[in-house]
Amino acid sequence: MSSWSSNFGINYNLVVGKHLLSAFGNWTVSEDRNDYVNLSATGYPDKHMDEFIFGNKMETSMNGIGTENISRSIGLIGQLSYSYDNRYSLDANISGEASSRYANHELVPFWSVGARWNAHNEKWLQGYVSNLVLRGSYGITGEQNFSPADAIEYYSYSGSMKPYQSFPVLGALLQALNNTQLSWAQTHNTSIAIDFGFWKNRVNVSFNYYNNITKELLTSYDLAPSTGFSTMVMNAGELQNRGFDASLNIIAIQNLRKEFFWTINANANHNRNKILKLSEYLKKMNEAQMNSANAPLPQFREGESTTTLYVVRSLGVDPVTGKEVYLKRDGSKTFVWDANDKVPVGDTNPIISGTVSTSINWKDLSCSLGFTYKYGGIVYNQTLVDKIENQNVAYNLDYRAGQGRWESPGNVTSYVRFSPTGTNTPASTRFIMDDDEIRFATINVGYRMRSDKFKFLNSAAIDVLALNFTTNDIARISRIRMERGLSYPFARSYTLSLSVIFK
Amino acid sequence: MKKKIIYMIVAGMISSFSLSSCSEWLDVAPKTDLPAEELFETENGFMSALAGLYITMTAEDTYGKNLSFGLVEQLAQMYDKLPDGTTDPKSVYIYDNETSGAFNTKNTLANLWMGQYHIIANANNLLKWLDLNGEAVISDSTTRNMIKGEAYAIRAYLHFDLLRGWGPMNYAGNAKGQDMKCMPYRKVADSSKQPLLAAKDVVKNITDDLLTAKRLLSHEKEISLSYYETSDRRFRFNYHAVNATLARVYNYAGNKEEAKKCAMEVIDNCGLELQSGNNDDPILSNEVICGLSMHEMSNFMSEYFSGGDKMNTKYYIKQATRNTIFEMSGDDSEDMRAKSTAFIEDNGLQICVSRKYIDNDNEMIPLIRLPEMYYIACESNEGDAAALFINDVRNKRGISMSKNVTCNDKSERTAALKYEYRKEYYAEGQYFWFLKTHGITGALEHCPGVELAEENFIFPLPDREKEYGWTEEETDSDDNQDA
Repeated sequence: MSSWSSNFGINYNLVVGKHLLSAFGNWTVSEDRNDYVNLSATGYPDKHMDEFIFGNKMETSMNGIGTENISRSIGLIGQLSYSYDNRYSLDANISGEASSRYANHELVPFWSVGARWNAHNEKWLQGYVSNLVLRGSYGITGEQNFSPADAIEYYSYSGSMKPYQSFPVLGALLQALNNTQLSWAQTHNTSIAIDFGFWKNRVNVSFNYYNNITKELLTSYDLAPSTGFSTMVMNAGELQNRGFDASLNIIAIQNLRKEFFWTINANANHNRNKILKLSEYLKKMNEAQMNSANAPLPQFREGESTTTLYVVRSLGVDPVTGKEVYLKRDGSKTFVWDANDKVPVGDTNPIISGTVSTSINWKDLSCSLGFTYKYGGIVYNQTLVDKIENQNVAYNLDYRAGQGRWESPGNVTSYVRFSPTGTNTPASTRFIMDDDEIRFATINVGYRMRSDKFKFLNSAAIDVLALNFTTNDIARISRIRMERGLSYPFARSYTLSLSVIFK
Repeated sequence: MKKKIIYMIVAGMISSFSLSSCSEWLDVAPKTDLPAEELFETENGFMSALAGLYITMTAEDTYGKNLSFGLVEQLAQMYDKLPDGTTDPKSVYIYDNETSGAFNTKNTLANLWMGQYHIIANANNLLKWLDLNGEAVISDSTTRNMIKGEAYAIRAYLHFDLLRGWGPMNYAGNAKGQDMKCMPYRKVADSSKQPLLAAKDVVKNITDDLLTAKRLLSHEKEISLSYYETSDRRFRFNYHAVNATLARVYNYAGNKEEAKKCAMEVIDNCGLELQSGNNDDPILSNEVICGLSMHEMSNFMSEYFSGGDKMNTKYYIKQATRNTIFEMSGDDSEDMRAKSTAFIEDNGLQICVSRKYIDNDNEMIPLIRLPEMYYIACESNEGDAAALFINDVRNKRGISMSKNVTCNDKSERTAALKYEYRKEYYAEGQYFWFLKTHGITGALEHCPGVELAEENFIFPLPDREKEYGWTEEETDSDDNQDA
């Protein structure tokens, strides 16, 4: 593996009275090269002959014995900023990248501007607030995260590296259905923020509102398998990401003499994304589907979010037969699950989420606790489906698999009738649950031993010895009981660390 | 000092800017990939694209396993071996639910659907480039026609196997079935949604493509597939293979006139003869009109067919079942298809495993073999003329003339052919299609516990196709699907 990069930067500062002007520019060129070969041989006659050359036979498969990869990129960043009297400031930025990973090799620059008003430095606000900043920015960022094969028709030998009788050449296959009209996804980012602090910054509040509109959003669109491919990259339309971040920081107790501090931090985030406009191509493809009651709803619809869950609605388990009753798209009831009946039922994204943490410091002892919370999202409870309803009788079962199930006409239960050959519950709203939780995320306790207090440290020339204990994911209060560690066992871990600073 | 600074600045700028406008410098693709425009600039590029089609056809999802010895044979209960996770042979017919572990037929069918259409898309793209660049790049019109003809033939052949699975039961005798909207017929490799076509429209498209291929390959009309120089053509869709496929399609559609013409043309001209010995060659490669070449077949097949201690984990069949299939009385058989040249026996466990893919030096998976032409000729004739063809094959296989069958009426003929297909095509994936094409339901004689009904023969559309492939013309497709 080898890589090199060449960098050219320029930096300029000018101070005239209360005016400060600074400029910055950077130009980078780089290349990354990766060559990896994996050779394997079998048939080593004796354990002492542990050199590769003593193998009897080499692996003959032509696939997967190495990789080779080169990627190159050129980037530029430029910044110009002006500020007056540490009260007003204005920034302008420009950046761009051209990379071999992208299909289009033009260097398209993107720019942004920002303004900031340090109101607390104004004479007429002195003494009232300790911190008051208003800031705003507007800029365009872009990304072109599709590979050349998505935009240009590419063939590859890598899927057919086998000889075929009667051909003197290797086989080549079409890599993807390419979309010649793919263009950069451009996001117009707007944000306004206010930072507010008083009581000598004992209380600090910050509120940031943002509105990002991505035009020509890139998406991997699902195709019918009869096209021969499962997805195609497309520009889907306009996506709006709007929300706010709020944070609060309180220094509740600040006793310098006794060296006791207690701070509380909280933040919240709310984000909603909405498809504002679909591209003409998708709109046309969706029209017919939208108008038919039998057709499945299209994946992307104006006004919906990209994290909406589309699921077939369920009315629960029928007390008479023990089978699940579904609602079709037009509202009629049926026992038969059909993918065409999926409707939007909610968003996996929470309405609000964030963290709350608090820390206490007393002389050399420090302790901090962290919590996270979220409210308003939904989730599909895979645990109940896998462990209770669809579990095979041959294996160990959760007790609810035997007791919570429908047994005879008249039973009102949440799980369908038991079947010895096993069931396979398709996704429906029966197992969609509100994903609200408060989680006790971290606890951190530390103690610092300084050499002026603990004299024995001097004998080892140690200045500070710090002990720290951490553990994560301690407890949870949640609306749902869902299994963690579905693919890897959940482990409780405790970390104790010791750090030493020598004189 | 100032000079030094200036030099540094200039050197830095040069090193950075010199590469900045080179968009060619940024043009690095992995060495195995290339733009289509570059590939189709040379004749070898076209050959590579064609080779890609055949190589992908040998994949597990399609002809490498599922359409040869895999799913389609399991659906006909040709093996007594059941996969782990099930003890019920009828669980292979669960098409609506995923049964992970066990047969998981729904998943296999979805992979089969996508696998076939993936090759079809590649074939369509090759045809597109042949129209764009073909004349300029490939100067020899024979070569150009050969590539084009083979691409059309592959497209038709693959669609036909999809039709046999997702199409109606007993197509020829079922008028309602012929109107059943079952699958799209794709002629262009793009992302457009194509409507499901009625079975009869699919058959029309298939025959049109095959006739086009036949015309393009007509320079091969007289070649004999048994000559050494031309025997490689057996691994490709040659003229006779196209004719043979036409015979098969016409037979499926009930067009006896055309089926007989094509079958006779193949029998008379292909240069191959029915074999009377299958020593070291149980797949009878000398009768294969068109077959696929699977690289390192023995590595792949040893997981499914082998002798030795692990035999009861492979695709075995009980000796008793095998004896029923081959109509053997006692352990002896004159029929060479049931002898030890064709099966590895384990007399302790009383099971046996087919040798077709492990004693297979040519690494060949047959798509169409010569005896099928005889069977089609039999089916297109009546009475003694029909009996002549089927008995010809039986005698060559070692069955004595005293056991010759008669075809005095349609049901006798169909029954005789049914037993023949079951013997001839063991582990080759044709018997299940025979039952479906002829509308034969009921219990399977070699596996009486399994009773087949119409719903077991018609595959439902994969979920992803229903969701993402929906087009407006399908408002009444739902009624026809759950036949």
